[in-house]
Amino acid sequence: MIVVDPRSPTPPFEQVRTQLADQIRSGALAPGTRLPTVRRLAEDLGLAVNTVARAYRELESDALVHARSRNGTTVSWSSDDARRQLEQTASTFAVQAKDLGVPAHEARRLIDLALGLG
Amino acid sequence: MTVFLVVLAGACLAIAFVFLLLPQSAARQQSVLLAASREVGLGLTEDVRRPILQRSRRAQRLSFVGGVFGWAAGIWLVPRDGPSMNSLWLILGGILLGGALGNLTAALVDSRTPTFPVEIRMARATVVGVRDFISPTERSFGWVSTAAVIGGSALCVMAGVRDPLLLIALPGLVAALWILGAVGTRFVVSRPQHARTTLDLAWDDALRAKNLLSLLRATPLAAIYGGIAMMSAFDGGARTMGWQVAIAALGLVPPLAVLLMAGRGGGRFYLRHLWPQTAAELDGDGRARG
Repeated sequence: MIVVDPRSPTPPFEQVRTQLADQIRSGALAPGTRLPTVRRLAEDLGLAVNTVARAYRELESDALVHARSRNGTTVSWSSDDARRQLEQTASTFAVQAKDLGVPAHEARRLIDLALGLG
Repeated sequence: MTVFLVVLAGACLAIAFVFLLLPQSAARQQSVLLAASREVGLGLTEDVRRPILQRSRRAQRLSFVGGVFGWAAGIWLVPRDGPSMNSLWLILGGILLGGALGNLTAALVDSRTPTFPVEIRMARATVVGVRDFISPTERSFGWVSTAAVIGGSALCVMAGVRDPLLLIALPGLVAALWILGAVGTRFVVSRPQHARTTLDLAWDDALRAKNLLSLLRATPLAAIYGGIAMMSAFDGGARTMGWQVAIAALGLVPPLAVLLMAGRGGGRFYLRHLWPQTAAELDGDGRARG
């Protein structure tokens, strides 16, 4: 979630940038996760499009997100090859689990079983 | 007989209009809120009560008004020179199409109208799509029902049925509803959401999902009438047992789709996708904690 307080002394673009950066660094936003479009996030938060666009640009210059015209803006994958492959597999697994209606705790249990920790 | 039916329809409409225009009593509002809370699995606070009531009332009113317009359009389209039994399906289809348009309008109005003074704003940091609100099975019922009606109509043509209402108007109406559902749901999901807290956003998701389900359910409901019309065409030209079995099999698809949709509920699919933590914390009896 992103919260913007118009009464805060911190500029809105900085509030958006900081929260997204924190969530990406903490893993709350997993690699490969698609962020909302600039226009959509601006409408949801009641901000100008340029404000959100500036936050996204700064995140991209920090290599935290990757902007592509067709896929929108996504959280960057790891630069390490092995880790990136695992991140992509985990992302595919999570999407399939959601589509099949498998609860999160059950999906985690299946991973534990696969790892021999069950 | 015709005068009696017109008076009866007029009285029903008048009663429905009065019911929708009169303000709800406090007890009625409370029961609406509790039913909504149970259905979607979310708690109620003072902040969310008024928006929920406003939005559910708006959806009721606009789908009713749309249904009335669809009903009038259906009557206007019925052939004057020789109305047949299938004319009834045209009118019912008009009601469903109008109701679906009303539902779509309500969802769009909801996305434009913040129900609270704009101060702190909260938004989701990830992109959402129709797949987060509606299960794949429920999304598939629309095209399955449409394909069944179009396939059944094609079989009726091959069996020698020549009723233009059955062969063109009904499949066209069902296909129009399916396209409206497919395009409308994507459009609604792309609209902004206004929230100050996570509960605001969760309720917005819940009401949005409910509206989208109503929009999508219109297609198999209309297809039921198409299925009944197809089966009633047995006497009109489906001569051999093979044709009859094939048409009946296709005609049974839409009612099955509706039964399955009703059985699945679907009211909490959004919760598992968008709020998995809340879904995991729900009590066994389906009520939200806290």
